[in-house]
Amino acid sequence: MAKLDRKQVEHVAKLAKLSISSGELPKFGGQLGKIVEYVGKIAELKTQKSKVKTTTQNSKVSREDGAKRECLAQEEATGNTKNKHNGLFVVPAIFEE
Amino acid sequence: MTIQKLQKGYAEKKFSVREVVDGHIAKIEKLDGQINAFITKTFESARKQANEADERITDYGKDAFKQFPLLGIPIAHKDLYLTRGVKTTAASKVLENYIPQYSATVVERLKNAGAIMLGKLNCDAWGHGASGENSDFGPTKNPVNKGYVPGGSSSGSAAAVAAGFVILATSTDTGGSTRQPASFCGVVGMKPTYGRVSRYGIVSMASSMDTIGHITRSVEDAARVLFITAGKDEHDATSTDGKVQDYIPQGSVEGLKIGLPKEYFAEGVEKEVKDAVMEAAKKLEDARASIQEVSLPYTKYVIPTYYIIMSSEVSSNLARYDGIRYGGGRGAFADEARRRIMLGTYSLSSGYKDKYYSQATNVRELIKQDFSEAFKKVDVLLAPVSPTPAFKFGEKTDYPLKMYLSDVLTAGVNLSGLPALALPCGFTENGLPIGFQLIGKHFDEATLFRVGQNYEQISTSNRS
Repeated sequence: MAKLDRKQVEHVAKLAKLSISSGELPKFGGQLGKIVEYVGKIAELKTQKSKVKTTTQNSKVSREDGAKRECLAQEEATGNTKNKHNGLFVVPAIFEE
Repeated sequence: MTIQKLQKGYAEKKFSVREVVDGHIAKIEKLDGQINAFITKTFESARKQANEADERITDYGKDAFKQFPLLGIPIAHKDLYLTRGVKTTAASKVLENYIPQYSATVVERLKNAGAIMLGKLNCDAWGHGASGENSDFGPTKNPVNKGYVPGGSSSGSAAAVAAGFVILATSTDTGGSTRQPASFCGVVGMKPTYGRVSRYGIVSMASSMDTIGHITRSVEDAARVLFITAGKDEHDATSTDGKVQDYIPQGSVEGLKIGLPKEYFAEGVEKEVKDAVMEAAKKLEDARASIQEVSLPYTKYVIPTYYIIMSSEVSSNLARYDGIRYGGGRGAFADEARRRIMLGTYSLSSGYKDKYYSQATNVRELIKQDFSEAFKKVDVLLAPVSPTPAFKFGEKTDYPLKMYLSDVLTAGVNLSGLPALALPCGFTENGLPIGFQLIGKHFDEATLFRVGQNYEQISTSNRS
């Protein structure tokens, strides 16, 4: 039976910025393993590299320059955050002080 | 009750919009405790809009309905649709306190057409599910039999229409999430062509497959609504320039070529479902459409392809929920969301991307070609929506992969961007609805509505 091991689940969870408790690792390892094994059956097909289309239609997806856009006022734009300072969003620090 | 009948009643002063809205509110208050279709109710503003609608009808008479084609129609929105000033949760604890600062384009278009919103509807959180059981606000029950799921992810939408709470419920369809719950609840579900209806302001799931649909009780209502929601939107770069037709169905099905994909009637589809859908095909054949078997050979790769591409796009789209600008942070994601994010992240990660994501995009082209080849021979495809009717709560929740396999007859359409219309075609022996779907060529919703309405008329006249 296919299973993702603890290290694999931890790695994927880290990439996805998800916290998975150590108690949950075996559950997700088992479930994801079965799913990955099932979806991996596409490997049995010999395919040519597709000209991958970004949409399912051949329509133009670029926007015109200078299109009018409404803009939210600062108070409105920051209205849903729990953490703001002087009307700005507070984000986690990248550099230590 | 349909849009046309309701508006005729308003015009003839048989009843007022306020009376009708009050009646729907009373029904919701009485019964939704048992169904759990609504997450948020907006009854106060609905009553106010109903009064305004009555004033419009008094001032302008029948002309009011020309200017506002959905005037006085009670509706509700799937809780993936942003509604300015009204809590929008995506049925997830991550957004349990989120109040959008803007509305989705479709919300604005329906409001500007005079529709009256009664509230926001429950669904599988983030659109992830095929039963309604993945909502963080409790599952919705199937109004036909409350021991059974209504389907998903547009669980509340299908249930609300089936229960008579609203005339129209908006929905989404990324892998079958409009058609399957419509089929489980015995109502009509419209999945438009990708790009036909703007996705702006609707919580993204898989951006190359999300389509913005709706659920109604009749084909004509579905057509009337698409006329309002369809059309280019400058806020959505993937919305098409193509002309919006008058979708009101006209004409017979005489001479129309209908294809039955043999892989959609194969082992795994329950006999009662197969028989009911074949009966629907026979009725159309009796109405002088021609029926032939076609083949979609890559059908067995639809689920793997869909789940790899969908989860990859989900992992990207849900990256924004970091708790900085809005929301409670990633710790509030429930199991199904975490599973899909991790599956997508795995599929895109170094060492696995070629085997999973890149290969899936190649196989997607083969699946699209299957449909293109079929449409060289026929005008429309007819097939079941789900291999089974509605199932009982808890039947599939321990087996995520088993739940994913529910999408086998719907997800190919999403990979290919095609339109489809789900219609009820009977009941199982224990009274559960069975549905079938019509699948059309890109932007050929008009043919779907024509066939659908012909089928409705045939099956209604057979019953009377």
